[in-house]
Amino acid sequence: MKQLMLSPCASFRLMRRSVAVCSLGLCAFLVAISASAASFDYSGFASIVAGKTFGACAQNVTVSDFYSSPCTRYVADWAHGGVYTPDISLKPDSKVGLQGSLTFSNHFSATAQVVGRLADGAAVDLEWAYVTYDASPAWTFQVGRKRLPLYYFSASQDVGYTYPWVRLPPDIYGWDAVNYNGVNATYRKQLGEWSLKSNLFAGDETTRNSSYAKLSYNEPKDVKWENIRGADLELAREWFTTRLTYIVSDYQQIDHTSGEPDVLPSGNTKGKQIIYGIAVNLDINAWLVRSEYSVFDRSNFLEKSKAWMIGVGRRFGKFTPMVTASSYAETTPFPDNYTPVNWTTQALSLRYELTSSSALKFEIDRLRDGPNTYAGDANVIAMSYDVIF
Amino acid sequence: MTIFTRNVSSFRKLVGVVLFYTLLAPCCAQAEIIVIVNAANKAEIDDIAIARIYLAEVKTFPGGSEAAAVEPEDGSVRAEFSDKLLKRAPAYIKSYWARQKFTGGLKPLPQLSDDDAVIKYVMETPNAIGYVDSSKLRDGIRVVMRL
Repeated sequence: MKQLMLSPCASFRLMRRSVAVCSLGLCAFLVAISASAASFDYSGFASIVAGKTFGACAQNVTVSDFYSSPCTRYVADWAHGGVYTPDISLKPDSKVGLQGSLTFSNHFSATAQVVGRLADGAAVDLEWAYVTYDASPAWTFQVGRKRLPLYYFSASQDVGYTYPWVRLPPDIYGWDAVNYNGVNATYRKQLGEWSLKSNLFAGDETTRNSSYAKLSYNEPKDVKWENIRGADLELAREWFTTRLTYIVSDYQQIDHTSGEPDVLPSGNTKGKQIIYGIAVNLDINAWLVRSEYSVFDRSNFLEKSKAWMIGVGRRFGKFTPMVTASSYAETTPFPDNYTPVNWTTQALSLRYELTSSSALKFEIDRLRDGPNTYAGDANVIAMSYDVIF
Repeated sequence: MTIFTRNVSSFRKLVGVVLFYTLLAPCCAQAEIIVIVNAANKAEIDDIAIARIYLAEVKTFPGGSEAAAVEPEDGSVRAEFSDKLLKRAPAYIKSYWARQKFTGGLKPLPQLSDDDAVIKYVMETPNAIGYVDSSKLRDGIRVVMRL
């Protein structure tokens, strides 16, 4: 971590140098921090990932026209439209993130994180921007824009360095909302040998011209998750970690061009969704197990999906080979208006610790689509370089 | 035939050497690490308490007083502390902190430039805790654990 104590004159120098490039807002921000002499940290992460699909051409796929023409395709990042094809590409998974954090006192800090990606037309997005109030050793309150904590690795999903695979198993990870604007409270407690962490959160998120929807629809769509309310509970003891989640929200899909809400398979223009799941991670000596089970219940308006993954790996010095299986399966109460899909994936991955803050990874995935073909069968090979700084 | 056999054995030797240096060699550069507190600090501190402080799960000593934990920057001392006390590979700990930092989680502990800076801080700060190579031991600090 780079620490920079901003005395008023140091930040004045910084301002002079950057005045040509920074916006008025950022300059106001710098003036504000120079006035309070807060300490500023910055850090970042990057993943450079190259990959391609291979194998026999998939038939009868039902993805949108944008993705239907290649011989095979593999959705690596649902939320951001990262899709591999037989042509080798850096686009689907590569990203770079920068985080700045201002600490005003022992209790108050402000953090912002932007992430740039190449998937679906390259964009830089503000992923996190929140103020933290550490009220006591047990309670922390945050207000602002944060990652929606759907799954165990959701919060660090952009930071490839923090997990053993090239990418998080897409059969679980990746929906039509990634972050949310709202509030959350975190409670931490030691119970004998156990450490407990619980998080309560509430907020809203609107995704305009959703990359997720673009995978299935030819027309641009906006997706609204409103009245998001959720809780998670993480329990850890030595080699054992588990996390339980429960989230509810209202759901709406809107035609981006006309602004009119779409009629959902239920016949309504609004629905309610319930998301719940459990993750269990084991770290027993050199062995690691990562597992997760999740239910995304949209049976109120669309479908209900169950997804799971389990990966077993072992560290051999700097190498961590891992075998992972995962599955995604939908059912629907509206078979006349919606065709449920399902598929399974097996993955072989290898992580190599290049330095204490960078890793090289290699992964082969084999996806077999179900009878109601979505993106079709695919084999994928990918290599990544992940770094934190 | 002889040439073939010799090639096989030299290949095996090469594989052996490569395996030794990639898998085993990093583990064997051992030194003794001491966990230290200010000489005035009489708190009883066991390995579990130290691990919790260094994973930032707690901010206090077992007696309830606030702990000002510091650690040296990345290097062999830190790697051995990870292995021996936290019982985790250094990469796992690095990944743990990256996860905390980039996800609005726990704040990383202050890192000082080297062992001497850690010792100086612990000598001058009544509620400090740190860890250094045992060869740096001197008056004014109390050793709570040897690793």
